[in-house]
Amino acid sequence: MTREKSGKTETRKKSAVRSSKQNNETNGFAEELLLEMRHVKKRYGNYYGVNDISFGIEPGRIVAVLGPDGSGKSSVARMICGLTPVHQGEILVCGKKPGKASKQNISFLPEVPFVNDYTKVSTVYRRYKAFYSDFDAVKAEKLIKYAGIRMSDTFGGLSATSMQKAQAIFVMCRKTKLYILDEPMTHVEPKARDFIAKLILSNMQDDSSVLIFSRIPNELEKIIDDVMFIHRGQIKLAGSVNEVKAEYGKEISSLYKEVYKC
Amino acid sequence: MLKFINLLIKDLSRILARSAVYVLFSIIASLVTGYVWGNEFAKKFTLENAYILNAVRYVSVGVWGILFMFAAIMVVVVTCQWFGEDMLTNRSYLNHMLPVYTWELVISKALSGLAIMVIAVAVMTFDVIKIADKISIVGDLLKIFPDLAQSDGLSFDLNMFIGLGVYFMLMLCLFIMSCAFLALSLGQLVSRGAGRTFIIFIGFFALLFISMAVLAASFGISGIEISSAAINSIQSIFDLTENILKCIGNTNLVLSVAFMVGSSFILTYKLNV
Repeated sequence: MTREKSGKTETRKKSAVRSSKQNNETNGFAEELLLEMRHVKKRYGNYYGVNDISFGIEPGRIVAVLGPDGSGKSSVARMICGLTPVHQGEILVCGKKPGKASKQNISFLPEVPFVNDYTKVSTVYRRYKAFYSDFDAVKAEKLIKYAGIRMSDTFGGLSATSMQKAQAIFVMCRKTKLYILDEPMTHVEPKARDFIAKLILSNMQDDSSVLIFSRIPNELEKIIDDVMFIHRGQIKLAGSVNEVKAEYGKEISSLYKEVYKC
Repeated sequence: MLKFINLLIKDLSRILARSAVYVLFSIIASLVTGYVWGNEFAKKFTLENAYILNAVRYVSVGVWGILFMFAAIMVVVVTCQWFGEDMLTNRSYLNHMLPVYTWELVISKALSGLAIMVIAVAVMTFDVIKIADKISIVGDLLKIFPDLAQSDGLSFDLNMFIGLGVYFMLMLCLFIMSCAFLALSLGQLVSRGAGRTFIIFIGFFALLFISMAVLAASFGISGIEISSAAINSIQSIFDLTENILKCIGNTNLVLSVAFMVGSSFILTYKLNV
């Protein structure tokens, strides 16, 4: 499954991700960026979990931020969503700092379940329907059924895979600008990874972007446009998948193994 | 506004679901105590043993008081637990990503807790008045006291006194809830595992201490004087009680608003889930 197969044509060959190095060269980002991070730092005690990260994301891209545990991926995701404070630097989502206005433009799938075990699928469905005017309730209902999940099921009664599928459906059925997915494929069966990949491809809008934070590059390689390798809170490598492949002569998953020695 | 109403419905249903057992138990137990034990059972005593009947009914009122405290404490505890879980754990990701202001998330929880408290207070107050009415001395006193007070030239409104008592109770619960909300929010100022629980614990008692100081100051501002010289007549006791209830109730309301503003500020600008 590739983006071409999904019916979306790849118009941009060059990377739409601008790393800190490129940012220094251009001295800022263009106005059309959906997401901008400027010299962002996040401190945990005396240790910087995120250390001077800068990048920008243009509309219509699927970007993977790859790195092992503790590399700072989730911190970056949570900072973009305004769930944890930024100690230095600036983050702009559609030109706005993280807050009520930016939240309207973000659909976030956290790594951990965002519901209680006793919560029914229908409860989350109703909540999305009530709070998000951009939520496609009909599509969500169909997809939930297609995934073999019943609205009356509780999340505690679902397998880890089904739970992740359900959460991903709710997140991706919003017609928003920026989708932030933190480890969407890590805790699911290999078969379900295809389902989530299809879900991402079929639901993102032309003017929206998807930012996927993951430590498993294998399944993502087929759907992403751009890639960023993050290590100890810093971007080690960034560019379009084609550029990176051409430059290093390797598939992303092989390069990942080489960079992180895993 | 519609989103806030949706929030309110969600919080109200969750807090009600969690506290319903305690509230219903308290309401049913107080009804049983009042009507079955305090009334029907007590009727079995003969008139010669009327003092036993009265004693039974006094015990009923005491049991009611314990049940009332139990219901109030449980609603406050459940509301604070819900606040912590819904706003500060991993499960809060969904809530904090809702396109609403943080203060709406905070207020809706406090209002939900308060609404349940109002229902419990209304039912149980009605119940205790019914029990108290059956106790010969209290019942008689309740019936004749307003006339008696008026004939002695005392200014006393029983209904206003009951209303003030309920207001005092509700504001006290709101104050404890908002104090706990702010203490839990203060925990967000440090990272997980960096003594967050300690900060919450110390924060709660520090806020209580500050509140005591504010209350003392408000007593001074209101000109409330608690001394033997000031309490020199029945009227002065009534007035003092009335003023104390008003002052504590109003101060608790102001402190609750201030604490909720503080919680909203921390959860907006310093959120660290």
